[in-house]
Amino acid sequence: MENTEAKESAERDAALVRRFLAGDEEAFSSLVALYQDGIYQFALWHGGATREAEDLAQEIFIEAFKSMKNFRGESSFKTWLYGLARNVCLYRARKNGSGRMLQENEEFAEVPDTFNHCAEMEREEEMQSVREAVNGMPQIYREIILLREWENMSYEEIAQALAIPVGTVRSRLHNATLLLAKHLRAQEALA
Amino acid sequence: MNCSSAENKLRAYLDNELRGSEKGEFIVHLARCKECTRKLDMAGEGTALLRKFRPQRAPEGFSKRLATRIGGMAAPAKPSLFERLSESFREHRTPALVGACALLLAAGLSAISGRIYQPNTAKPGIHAHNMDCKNPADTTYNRPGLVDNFYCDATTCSK
Repeated sequence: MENTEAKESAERDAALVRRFLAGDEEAFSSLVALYQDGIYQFALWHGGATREAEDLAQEIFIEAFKSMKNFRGESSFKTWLYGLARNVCLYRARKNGSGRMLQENEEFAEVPDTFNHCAEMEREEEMQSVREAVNGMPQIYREIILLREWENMSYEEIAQALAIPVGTVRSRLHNATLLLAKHLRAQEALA
Repeated sequence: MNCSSAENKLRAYLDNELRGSEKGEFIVHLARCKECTRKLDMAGEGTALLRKFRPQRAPEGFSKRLATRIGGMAAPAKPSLFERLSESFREHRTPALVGACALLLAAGLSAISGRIYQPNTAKPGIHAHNMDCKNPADTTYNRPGLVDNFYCDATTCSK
């Protein structure tokens, strides 16, 4: 089921890329519409403030627009786009002198008190709470959660996009999952 | 498999990313270890929550502002015929190779046998065929530029 969805979205993206390369700019707009939320979130984690994040997200899409000719289809478009996003973010961080090494043992930041786990919680509120909990996680976990849970990318694809080994994807995702579960239990114990 | 190794595979197991013997060993360990089973439940809870993750939506007007910034740039040029052929070759490499080999083989065999197909251009008394014709009259009708084609009197042709 998940594989079928991934295959369908990869085929849809490949068709849009072909149309764009044949000169159809509308196809690029469709790709932007599909990925703007994910890329914006990615940029928000890297760029900080809302305005900087928008600028960074636009820079990522502009770079994609310019270098699409180099996309060889050896990976899915999604993998290629997030790989490019990562490079643009790293380049920007270096340029601004704000680049820092990400640590595996980074602390779980304070999650806002609004985080709560009630069965009655409205869907939108629940999603907001999960997002806030993820925002409190170290950067290395957040990226993987975005690619896995939102973009439905396989471990292999995530490894390719972030230029890390599959084993690292596995252990980071595992740590993120347990961090959230532990945090959740601690919140429940306090309640 | 020990607990430390099994613990690192909890999430991958839930994501159905474990294969073959690794998956088998993990299941065997789980059946024996209460602590890892407890952690699997915990990982299940965390996974269920994380699957509800949705990114922050891009600000209103994001795509319009992007379109304005991109507006001044030229769309990628339509690929040339050569690029399209290269792309097509890359995409259909195997069938193209098989086709090319078949063509080369056919051409080679034809060259060896010397029997290149010619359409029937016969006129009364004269017909066209290749150099296999041993009729001395051929030379009389040889046309400059038609290397393989000789013309002979059909009534005396040795073929």
